[in-house]
Amino acid sequence: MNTQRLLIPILISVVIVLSGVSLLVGPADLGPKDLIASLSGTSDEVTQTIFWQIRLPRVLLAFLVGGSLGLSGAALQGLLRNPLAEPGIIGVSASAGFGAVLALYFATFGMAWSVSVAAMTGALIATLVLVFLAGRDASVLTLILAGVAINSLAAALTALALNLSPNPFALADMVHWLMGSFADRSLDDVLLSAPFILFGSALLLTSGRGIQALVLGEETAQSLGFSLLRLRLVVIFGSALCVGAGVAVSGAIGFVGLVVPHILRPFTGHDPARLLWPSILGGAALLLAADCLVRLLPGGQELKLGVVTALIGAPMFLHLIWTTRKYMR
Amino acid sequence: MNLEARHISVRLAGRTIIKDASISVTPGELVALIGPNGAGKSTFLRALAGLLPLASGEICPQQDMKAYARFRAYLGQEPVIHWPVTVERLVSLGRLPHLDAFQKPDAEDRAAIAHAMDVTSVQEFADRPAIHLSAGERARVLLARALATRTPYILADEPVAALDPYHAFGMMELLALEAKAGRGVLVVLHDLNLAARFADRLVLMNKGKVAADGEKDVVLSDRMLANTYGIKVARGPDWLAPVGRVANGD
Repeated sequence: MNTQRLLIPILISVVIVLSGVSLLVGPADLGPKDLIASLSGTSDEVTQTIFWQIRLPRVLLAFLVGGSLGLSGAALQGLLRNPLAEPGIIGVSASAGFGAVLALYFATFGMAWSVSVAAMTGALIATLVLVFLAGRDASVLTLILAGVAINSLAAALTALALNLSPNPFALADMVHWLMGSFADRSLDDVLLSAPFILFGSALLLTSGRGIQALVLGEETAQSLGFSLLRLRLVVIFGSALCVGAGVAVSGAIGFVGLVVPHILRPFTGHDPARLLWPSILGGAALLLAADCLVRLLPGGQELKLGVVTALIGAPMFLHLIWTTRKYMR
Repeated sequence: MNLEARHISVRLAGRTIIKDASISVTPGELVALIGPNGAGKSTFLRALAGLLPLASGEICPQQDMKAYARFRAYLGQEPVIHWPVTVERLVSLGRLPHLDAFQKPDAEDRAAIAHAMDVTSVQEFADRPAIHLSAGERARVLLARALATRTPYILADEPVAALDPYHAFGMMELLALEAKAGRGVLVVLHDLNLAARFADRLVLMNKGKVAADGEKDVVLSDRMLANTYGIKVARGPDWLAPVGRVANGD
């Protein structure tokens, strides 16, 4: 009970500390004083630019993308009653990536939002197909198989688009971008994705009572006065908005929605509704930490964020399959 | 207010499962819904619970989902529990029909939860994950969840299916107590002796229709059991036992 009450304050503190660290880490040597000076607008121009155009966008993106990915994972897991449901694993991120590649491929320059819209459409279609395939029963196997199918299809279509790309530089750009990163994103990128992510997150947060009722299965949830159709649509649209807008701005960053709810669930008494807010904070903390890590690791090139989260997440995914198959089909 | 089904028919996957069936349950009454396999008992109960679309007829009172959730509690057959939440948290889910999206439970909610856990004697494992309990304990916890909703009516689909005779009696006694306290209880039962012993009234279903509705002497008569279940029975003072099948059970 105590840990449950302390969870949110602890997570908030962690997020604040990591945000501070993230603002201080980078090739240019900025101290805490420079940060405060930049905030109040009294520092020199170079420091101002570094703070507002390079460091701050990274922190804000970690917040938005990490928080909404954590939340999407928690909400999808609640809806499907399955700890393995996660936008990356079930192919939603890959489909969003394909949508974005398609928009980039047809090079609708000057319309930055077209990439976001295409990514969100890809995410939406994938989530709809997935819930249609795996929504009725909570079987782990159905979900994973549906995810494998959607992932493969999205990967194949993305490969096709890349294969047909006439310009090798554009190809390299897309491949790099698909690996997921917060580097070189501007405040404009943040402002472009923020409305969709915030609206999607707000939708997902309204699903709390419904996914709580689903602890007792679909029929009992219905008998408690919840419309399953409405609940499904809220979670599908909410997570599609979050994942699509997130992928459009930062590429595919996998496993956040798997790792974060999995770690936090025992501290919320396994209550799917109480897991939602902590998952936002945990997701933000995870990406803030990972984004500091990619900048701190030695080596010529900055590691891609999506690569780091996959390296952390994939072993945990295997572990989860191992433990859940004991009590699920 | 009575809970009623008026001449309802239910079609599932192109088949008519319930044909022109009617029932009425009044407050303070325990009604047992019996019938052979495939008679449509569970479907009838789910239709009464408002969980199925009707092909014809009506359920009274007609209310929206949320209001109806406060009017009847539904205890499904072998309900699943998907996360290892504690018993207390599980029972508290019964208050969901009374709460808006972001509303916190108040004193009345907490009192309802505590009372439901008291009458079903599940207080002692309040902090344990419900999925780790025995079948008998879990059945009581799920009943507590239904009671916590404090609905005038309870609809239960074979709540004793997984229970040994001792725990089955315990469950039926709890339901009878709730009826005595003024709720209307409609319960699907396979065990005719439990039905005869605990129910105020029996409703016998056969092939999607209500074949008989009344006192146990009428509903459980030799002729009726032969026509619906296709069995011959031996009888004692307060028991009956199947002793064979009739040749041409209709």
